[in-house]
Amino acid sequence: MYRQKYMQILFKVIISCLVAFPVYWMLVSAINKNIFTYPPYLFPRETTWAYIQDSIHNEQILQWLKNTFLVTAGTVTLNLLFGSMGAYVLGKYRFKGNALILLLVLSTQMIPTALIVAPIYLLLSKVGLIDTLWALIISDVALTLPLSTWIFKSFFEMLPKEIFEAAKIDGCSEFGIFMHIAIPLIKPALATVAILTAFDVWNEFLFAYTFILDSAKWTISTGLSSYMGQYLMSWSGIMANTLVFAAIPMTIYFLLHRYIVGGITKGAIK
Amino acid sequence: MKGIKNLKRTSFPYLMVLPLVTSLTIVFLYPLIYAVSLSLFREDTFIGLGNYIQLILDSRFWWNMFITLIYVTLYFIGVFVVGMFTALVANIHFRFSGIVNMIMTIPYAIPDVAAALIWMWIFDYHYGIFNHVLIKIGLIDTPLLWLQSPSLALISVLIATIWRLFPLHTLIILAAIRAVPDEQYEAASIDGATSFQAFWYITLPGIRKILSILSVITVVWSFKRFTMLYLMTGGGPSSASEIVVIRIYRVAFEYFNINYASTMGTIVLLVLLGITTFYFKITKEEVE
Repeated sequence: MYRQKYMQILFKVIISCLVAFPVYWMLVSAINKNIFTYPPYLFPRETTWAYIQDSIHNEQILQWLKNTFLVTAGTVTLNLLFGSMGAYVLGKYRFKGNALILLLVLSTQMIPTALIVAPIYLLLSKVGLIDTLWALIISDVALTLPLSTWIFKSFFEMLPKEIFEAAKIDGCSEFGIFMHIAIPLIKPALATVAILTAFDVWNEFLFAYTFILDSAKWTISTGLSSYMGQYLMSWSGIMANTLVFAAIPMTIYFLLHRYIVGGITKGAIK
Repeated sequence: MKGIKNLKRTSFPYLMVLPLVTSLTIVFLYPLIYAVSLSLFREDTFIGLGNYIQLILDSRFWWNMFITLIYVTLYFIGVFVVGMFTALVANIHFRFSGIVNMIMTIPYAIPDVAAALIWMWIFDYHYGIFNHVLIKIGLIDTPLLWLQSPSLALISVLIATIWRLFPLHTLIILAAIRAVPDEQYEAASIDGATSFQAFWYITLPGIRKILSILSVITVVWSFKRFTMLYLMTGGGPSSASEIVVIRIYRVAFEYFNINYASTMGTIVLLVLLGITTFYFKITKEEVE
């Protein structure tokens, strides 16, 4: 019996190591002094922090990180605001057009962005927003809204009716009820949506690559992709850059795992 | 006075959804309608269905659709097999098993561009670990050009893409497995069922509904996958791994033929619409 349990544990640990191997390989390649050896060593013989130091002192990369942070902050703020407002009335009110708006929210999740990126580009260039971070914030907000609306809606629907009726009798305005009663009750949903939205923005490439041509305004994903196919750059350098880029979402994933998993399962299953 | 208050009451929900609807309209709905109308023009002249006729005769487009079908099918199988397997493994409980589960689902936190770069390094012809390991265990004799050869490019990108995306399936299937009531397993074990029987007769039927929702999401979302394939092969070599969304993007931004790109986009949209309608029809019948 015990033996079987230990075998199971061992099996599970081996599987996780296999799955996580590419991440380990990125780490090792970023600190390995000489990756161009044959055969490659699973554990590096000599390590160096030079590549990672180069990455975090690279001004271009810092600028790209800053741009990504700005886009993430802007998108998350607007997403939380628009998503919670919309989801609240979609979940709690009956009004004409309710079902139609829900259909809009659902069907937009189905549209591949590659199909609409050209018309959006034309639209953005008409209003002069190409090459601005606003272009990304506007498009990323819409990109992330369907999922967040869905998550918010499922949270609002779980709140008992009585709370709202009591507040109404006390003379609370409708917006007051939303702001001071409903929102504080769904704080975990706010955290979940903020994290998932930030992940999506951090991950987004197509819009960032298409709408921003000026390399000073690139996000980190566009910036790193530009190193591809440049043979001047060693794989160690590229892996160090990649590590700097991926370390942030990885850390958040480990620290706030609970919120992320809750959001994924709620968003998909409900 | 009362009239104004009434107006305020009825307008409240509309004011609240206004930002949401505006945002989705500007970025999704309007561009979509715009794209459909663009598909009816060549430059600035209206040509009706001219682009669609050109498309039917475009053998490369049919190749793109064929490659897309293969891509979606293999992706679907891969992501479900790996997702189901890892979900069952993740369901093994012990102290600190939560941390092991996090490690097992870590690709979820790796951005597409980072995942593409990592796998390009792994697939590197000269120094990549993939070739090395395969030679070492005797599966191949000489290193292979994974991303640069027509027969291997698509499968290589699929390996990387499935690695990047399966954790979503793991987490959703795991949540579903855990929602199956324990009593059923207890009853089965009293009856002397093997663990495979328990999986086949209790777990699978218990998570069937979620699996069917997940499967349609998987198909529809696989059309959204652009970044990794675009970066790793760019649809190449020549057009060996050119799925339809890559072709659309290239026609729009490399050949600047937005009209023709929109025509292909409209067709893909109709296909997706067909898939989802078909799905909802089937599930409705199942419920009834």
